[in-house]
Amino acid sequence: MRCFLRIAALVVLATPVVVVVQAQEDGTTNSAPLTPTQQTRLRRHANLPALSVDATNAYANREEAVALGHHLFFDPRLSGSGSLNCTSCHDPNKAFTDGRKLAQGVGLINRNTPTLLNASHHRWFYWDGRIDTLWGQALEPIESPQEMNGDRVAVARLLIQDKSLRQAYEKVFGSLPTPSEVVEWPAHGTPRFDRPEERDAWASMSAEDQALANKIFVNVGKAIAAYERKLLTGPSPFDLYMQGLEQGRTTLPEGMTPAAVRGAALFVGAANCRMCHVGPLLSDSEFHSVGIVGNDGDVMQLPGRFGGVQKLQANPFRASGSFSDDATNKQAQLADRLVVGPELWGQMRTPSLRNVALTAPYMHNGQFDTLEEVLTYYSTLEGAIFPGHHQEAILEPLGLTDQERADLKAFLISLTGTPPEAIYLSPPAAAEDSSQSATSSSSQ
Amino acid sequence: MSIGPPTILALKNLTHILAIVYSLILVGAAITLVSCASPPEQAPAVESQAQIKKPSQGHVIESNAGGYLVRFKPRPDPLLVNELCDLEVQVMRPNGSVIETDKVVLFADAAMPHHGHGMNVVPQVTSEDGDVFLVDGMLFHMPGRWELYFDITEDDVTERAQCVVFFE
Ligand code: HEC
Ligand code: HEC
Repeated sequence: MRCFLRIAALVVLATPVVVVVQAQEDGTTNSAPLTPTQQTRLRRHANLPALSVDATNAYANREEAVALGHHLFFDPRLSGSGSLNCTSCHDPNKAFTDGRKLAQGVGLINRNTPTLLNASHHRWFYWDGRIDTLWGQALEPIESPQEMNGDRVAVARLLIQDKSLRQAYEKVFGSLPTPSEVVEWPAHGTPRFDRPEERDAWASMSAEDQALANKIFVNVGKAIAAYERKLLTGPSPFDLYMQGLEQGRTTLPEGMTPAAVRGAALFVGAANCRMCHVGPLLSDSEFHSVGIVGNDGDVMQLPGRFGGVQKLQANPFRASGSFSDDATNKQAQLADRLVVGPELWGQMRTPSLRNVALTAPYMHNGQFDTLEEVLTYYSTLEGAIFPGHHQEAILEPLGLTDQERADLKAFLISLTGTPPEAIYLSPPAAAEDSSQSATSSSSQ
Repeated sequence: MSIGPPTILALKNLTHILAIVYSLILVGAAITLVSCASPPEQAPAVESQAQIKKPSQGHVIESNAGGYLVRFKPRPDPLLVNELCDLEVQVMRPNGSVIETDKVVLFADAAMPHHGHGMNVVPQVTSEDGDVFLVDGMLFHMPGRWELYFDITEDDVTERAQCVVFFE
């Protein structure tokens, strides 16, 4: 240990060179110097890499799958009432969130809606990481009684019966049964425990019919995931600034202010945000407690990652499950090797901070309306409750000055990237047509 | 600064630290590996003694009671924070002779003692061929100071080799 401290001291001594950013003619002065250490650390947060291959979804990069997923994302017929779709909560005009504290579907959901921008980069999905595939995630809101309250039998029927969806599906996944082959199917059905009526109907189906409905349902998820993989944001002012530094340029790109540079230095320095908000997503995609508890303040109501792991390992749509196109890849094996212990209680996945300025309110329970409130919280940790005595000894009140909070906020704002391709932000024209024709002809 | 290979440093042998730290800074290492055991120049010596082919390079550390040397090579090398990685590991007698994988049981783990937590995953240890273990699925999810542990059990006696891995 003595030796380790000496090493740290030497590193400091050996790095006296400071990048001093020059004043510019337009008055954008960057008086905040970044030390080489800060620069090295910040480099790790810059520039999202290309999206990695999703081996669990063989259709993830197929353009026809993207087109089908695009239709389905906007199609209210996936919901039980025919009136809700993914955009009911993930509104493209609100950075794919709903702007609400807590999400409202068929019922009120006790979680804040996360953005879908860059979500495909995550390792685990949901605040508690209860699923490890993007396609498996997409199936959950469709059937959840609080969210869209649809069901897999109705969804499979829709794909079989709607002409244009059927065509789009068959282009990617091969032939579907004819409508007459499924006349015997119940109108609704799912094996989910929280849908008792549909569960009984499901039980009345033959094993082959169940397998067929499952297959179609899973492919719906894989198509939606292919579409979601297009919801990536381009370079943010922070990324451009870092690219500039790499090339020896010290000018501040548009949207990058001296305050944001100071905030960046704080983020990887005294404020130590990078402990959890690390990597190009500004999230480790892992789980921590920062002391935020449920809206009723009851720690016992907040299993967080503890519950997430159990649900993940029981989810048939997980990466290592039988619906996965590669159940043996490394990522898939991770889920079966997770450490489960009481310290996971109440832990939430670190949110990405890319585009965070667009996704208020904040935290899993939507507790804070503004970034200022979040930063005040980290500054004081007022009201923090740590679920156990096992919590990580990372967080302590930072006691940030007004200036420091303003600087951190400026940095967070500089993480807003350019929007995804415009065509993905509105419904595909054909989907609107087909959903209209179907609403008039659908018999529920 | 470019991202260089990890460097392994001895804690016991303080006299060698200065030169190594300077070379580390020169290459701008992304990660600093700090060994708690044998001095680094012992590694090539061990290599020539035992004619080890795999892991070809790697770091050698001594177990806490001196009963073993553990040579490990990360894949990918250098290790990256929050990226899944594997380790190729060989367990050796103090004289550098490699112990066959069926003679000892190896368990590998890592923790951040300062933060009171370990890794979120349990790595799996398999034996690739006669004398190389493969530790599959290590995940150092946070920057900072990690400790890497190898527990070697032979005839019901367990001895630990450990070192510090620093992720900048
Ligand atoms: C009723 C509102 C609502 C609807 C409708 C809805 N979602 Fe969500 N979505 C949420 C909420 C709330 C969460 C977070 C829930 C949690 O973590 O427990 C979430 C989480 C997600 C996530 C995880 C993001 C991450 O960063 O982990 C994805 C992906 C997602 N939804 C996609 C979809 C898709 C695709 C649909 C349509 C099939 C959909 N959602 C429909 C509210 C909704
Ligand atoms: C110990 C790990 C950790 C550290 C350190 C940390 N965060 Fe967080 N951060 C989280 C987690 C986990 C959440 C979600 C907590 C919840 O909802 O219960 C979060 C939430 C946030 C949010 C809200 C994002 C959203 O979409 O809701 C912001 C903004 C944020 N952190 C910024 C920061 C800043 C700035 C710092 C440094 C001052 C910091 N964090 C330090 C783990 C951390």
